[in-house]
Amino acid sequence: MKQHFVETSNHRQFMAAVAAVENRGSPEACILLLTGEPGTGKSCTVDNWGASVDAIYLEGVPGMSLSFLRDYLADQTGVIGRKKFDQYKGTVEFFRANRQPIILDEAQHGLPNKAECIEYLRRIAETANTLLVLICHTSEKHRFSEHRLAHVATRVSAAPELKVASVDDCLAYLNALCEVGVDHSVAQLVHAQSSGRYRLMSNAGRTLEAIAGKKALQQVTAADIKGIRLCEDAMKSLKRGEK
Amino acid sequence: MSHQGQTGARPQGSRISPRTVTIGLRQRAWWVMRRRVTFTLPELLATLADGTERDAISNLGKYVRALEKSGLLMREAARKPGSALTSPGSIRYRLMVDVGRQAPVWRAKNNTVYDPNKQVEYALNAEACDE
Repeated sequence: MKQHFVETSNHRQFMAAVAAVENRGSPEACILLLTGEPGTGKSCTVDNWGASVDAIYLEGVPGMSLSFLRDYLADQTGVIGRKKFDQYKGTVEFFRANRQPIILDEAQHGLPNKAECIEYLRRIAETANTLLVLICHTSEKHRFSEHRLAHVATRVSAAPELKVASVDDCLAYLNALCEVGVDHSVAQLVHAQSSGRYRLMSNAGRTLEAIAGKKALQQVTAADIKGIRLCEDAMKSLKRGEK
Repeated sequence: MSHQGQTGARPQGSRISPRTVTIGLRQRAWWVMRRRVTFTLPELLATLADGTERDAISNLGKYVRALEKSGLLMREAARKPGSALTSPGSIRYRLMVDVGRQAPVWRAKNNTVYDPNKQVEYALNAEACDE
């Protein structure tokens, strides 16, 4: 397998959302809420973008308070103030100077106490004219639309949801990374077995290469892999075990 | 008129001061190392390389090994298993010292790693990652 990042449709969707927030009309609506199921490439997409813009990355933890967040920000930015106001002012200056976006992963942990942690970050992002990216699992998305959190919800400019790959995505992904050629019928099989999860598609790609190596093939077709399991979807197995 | 500056040739007797910044792929890799703490080289490449680099595997591999020799990274005992039956797996690294936002600079000539955040140099331990 080749080892490089593949610009999937999810990546394009995320980058379009970033562009939309950067070109927003109202400066206070600086939040991008990114959601997705496991294995849809949230971490990979965000890491790729975060590393390219040198974003400040924070990870929400259960029970996170505002004082915890201030200490966390101070650790990541190197801005330390003797008083809370000094700390806030220094942090805003830091972001104004560097224009680095802020990423808050596991953002649902910032929701208690009327989302005071998220509101604190949003104020910094708004004042420094940068953007705040909140990441959470799809199942937590509805919590951001609660009435008591309207002050946050109304400041979300874009909320892309990363989806599992389509057959076309699967074909593009395999063709970009596999050392052997694959056709649409193979992509359909891989898509069915991997449930469109990139993590599993990567495993399937390695299996395809192994099969091609054994059979000395340059191009794998559906006939070459008939009846062979290319990847194992553990989530499916777990669900089967429940019954 | 001399054209040395245009051709990139170094004037005789001049000394180039050692690098103080790392940019590009290594800078981005450092960002991911700080964020993930434990990682493998294939994971870094799958996240950061875009396929247009001349030799991203060698570039990042050398950088990671230099950081390991400096003590900033540590090689974990267990490898990450590969998918092939005969695969030896990938070496899993752990970030031991998070020096800060700016990526450490590997100075190959001096055999050191320079930390631009605190402006200190780490000597490389040659025995650290010999297999």
